[in-house]
Amino acid sequence: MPQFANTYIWLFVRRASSWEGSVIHLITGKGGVGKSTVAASLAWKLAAAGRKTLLVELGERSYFRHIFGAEISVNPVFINSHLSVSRWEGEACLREYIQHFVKVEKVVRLFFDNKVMKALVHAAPALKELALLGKITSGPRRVGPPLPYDELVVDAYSTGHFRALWRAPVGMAEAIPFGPMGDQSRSISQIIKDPAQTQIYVTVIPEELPVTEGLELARDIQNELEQTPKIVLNRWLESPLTAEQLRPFAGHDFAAYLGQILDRQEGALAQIQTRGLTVLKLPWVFSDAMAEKVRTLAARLEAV
Amino acid sequence: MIDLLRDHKVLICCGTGGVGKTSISASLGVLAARNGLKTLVLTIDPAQRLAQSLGIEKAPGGDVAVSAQAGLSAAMVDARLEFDQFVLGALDKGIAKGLFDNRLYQQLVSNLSGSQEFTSLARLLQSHRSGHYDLIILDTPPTQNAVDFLRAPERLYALFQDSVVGWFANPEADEGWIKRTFHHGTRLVTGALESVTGSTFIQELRDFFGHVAHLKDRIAKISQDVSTLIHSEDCGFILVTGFDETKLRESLEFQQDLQNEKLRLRAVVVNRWFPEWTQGERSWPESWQGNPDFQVLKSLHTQFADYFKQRQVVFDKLHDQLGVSVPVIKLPDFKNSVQGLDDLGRMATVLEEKWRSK
Ligand SMILES: Nc1ncnc2c1ncn2[C@@H]1O[C@H](COP(=O)(O)OP(=O)(O)OP(=O)(O)O)[C@@H](O)[C@H]1O
Ligand SMILES: Nc1ncnc2c1ncn2[C@@H]1O[C@H](COP(=O)(O)OP(=O)(O)OP(=O)(O)O)[C@@H](O)[C@H]1O
Ligand SMILES: [Mg+2]
Ligand SMILES: [Mg+2]
Repeated sequence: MPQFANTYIWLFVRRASSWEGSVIHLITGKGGVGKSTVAASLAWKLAAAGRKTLLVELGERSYFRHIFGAEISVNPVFINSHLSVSRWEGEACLREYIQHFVKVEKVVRLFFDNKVMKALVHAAPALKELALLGKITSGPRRVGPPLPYDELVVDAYSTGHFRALWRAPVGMAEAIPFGPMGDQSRSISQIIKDPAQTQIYVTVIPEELPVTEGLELARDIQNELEQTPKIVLNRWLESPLTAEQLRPFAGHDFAAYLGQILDRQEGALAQIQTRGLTVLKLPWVFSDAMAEKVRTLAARLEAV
Repeated sequence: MIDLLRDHKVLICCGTGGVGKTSISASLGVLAARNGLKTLVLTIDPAQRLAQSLGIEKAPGGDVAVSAQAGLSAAMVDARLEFDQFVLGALDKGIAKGLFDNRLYQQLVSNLSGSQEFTSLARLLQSHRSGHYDLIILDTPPTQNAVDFLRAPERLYALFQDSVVGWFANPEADEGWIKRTFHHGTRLVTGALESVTGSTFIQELRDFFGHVAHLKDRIAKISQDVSTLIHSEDCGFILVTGFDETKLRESLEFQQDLQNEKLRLRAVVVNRWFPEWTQGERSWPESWQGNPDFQVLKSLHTQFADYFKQRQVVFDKLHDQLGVSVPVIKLPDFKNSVQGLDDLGRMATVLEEKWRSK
């Protein structure tokens, strides 16, 4: 009985200080397949369902400013009562990370002004990636500034760079087993390997190269992160005519074009399904207004 | 187009992920070779079927003469392989082995932050020097931001400067790595690094720098020579971009980036601009009118046509605003993906046509 009470109090304290730790969603896929659009839509959906959500983009340039019409930087910008957007950049995260260990601001400044450290930060393997993932997982690891969100949706890099991102802590945890760097790397890997805390979405479109590249990535994630990503099959054409019904019109350019899209779609779907992976289909939205696209896709995500 | 190809010794195709850099590099190669230029295409991560068509799928690294196209050679640049070879060429065997075993080295060469960019530019330099080719076309890895690609050698070089290498690589200073540095500020910084990373990491870092100390002169030379080459009149850049508002905005930023670096943007290729059927459509046969499925097909057709028309309007408006100061070539979305030599040939023909009517 005392044990039960303890657990209860512990849960209560965690809730009260909003230290529950957000669920992390990482969106990746080949370049141009719709990672950013899918990430925005997922964030939109979660926020609409009443979850406090932070949508995060990585890197030096903002894409979401085109969608939300606001400058996006490290300080979260409010989009609505439940949705905020922010942009995290490797060097700034590294600064924050170092600040966490070295409490003295002056030393931190010296560190980043130092020529040798500058060179190291720009080119040394894995440092920036480690800092970024460190920040992404900082909620559940209870380090750094609080991230009081229920859900963290990250528009993560495309396939090649995404591998580098997770391989930094996973590789470092193996390479440098001792010391703070090893400890950090291990705790980061633990979070991203745990499907209850981190969900990975590999976005593809029904074309050969994106699917092949996406499935290769999915395999690496299964092998190295020991969890199974979801496949988001984006830009799926919901055709009122089947390939069979199109056949009589095959002589016409447009019908041939449609027929080819449908063939490719079926091929892509089959290829994914033979791997036994879960597929979320998102429709091709015929609008160029970004906000409309995001809302339409969010509604579709709602349904699943 | 041929004037563009003839006026340069090096053309670099840049752009964000998946826009068609590799396909366009290869078809520009076909076009140049057709026009009698001895051409080398350096590809990065080509799709398997494209690699097969070029005949390079089994020859990672080396130049291969493309059998179906006289005058054209192709190669795959494999960052890991090139970097290892570079190390082997620059160091004696024992030191190279020590470096290969270093875990930070393994991270450096398999991590995209810089090594892929560095090796492809180093490879470009080497091929350029060989004097075998009239023109070399360099495909590039996907970058979020084009300038990252160009700065890679410089950044890598910064890491290998005396001051940096000297900091870490000091053979006799096994004891008291921090104590060795007397300057108070420096001591604080090294202390901070150690407290953040731990002594095992520092040990690995020192081992790494101990080995690479011998590489620094070569790396310095390569970064300087690459910089000279890409800044010369002989080298032009081609930006490949998608048909998409945000992509076009990115292009503008890229144009600015190049200008700031004093590099020469020569053309923008907007790839997969329209499906082929939207241009010069055929009418529907009378006999289909009675078929109920045909009515569905027709309304679908209207939906698609409107969609592409609407995008065209947005594109034109944007294009006028952007003030792109170089030729913009629009390529259609071909029926088949561009993987066989005949696909490349078709793309080359269209590239040439569009350039003429630009
Ligand atoms: N389901 C969809 N229906 C219609 N258009 C879409 C859909 N998903 C994405 N798009 C469009 O496709 C283009 C590419 O999408 P997006 O920028 O999200 O891709 P990305 O994977 O983030 O690209 P990058 O690799 O360059 O970051 C955009 O114009 C976007 O509006
Ligand atoms: N104009 C086009 N019409 C139809 N398909 C195309 C066209 N251009 C490229 N493709 C196809 O699009 C896919 C991606 O092209 P490609 O590999 O050249 O892009 P990339 O920019 O090199 O990609 P990455 O950034 O991943 O290296 C390939 O399957 C290619 O065949
Ligand atoms: Mg994106
Ligand atoms: Mg490519």
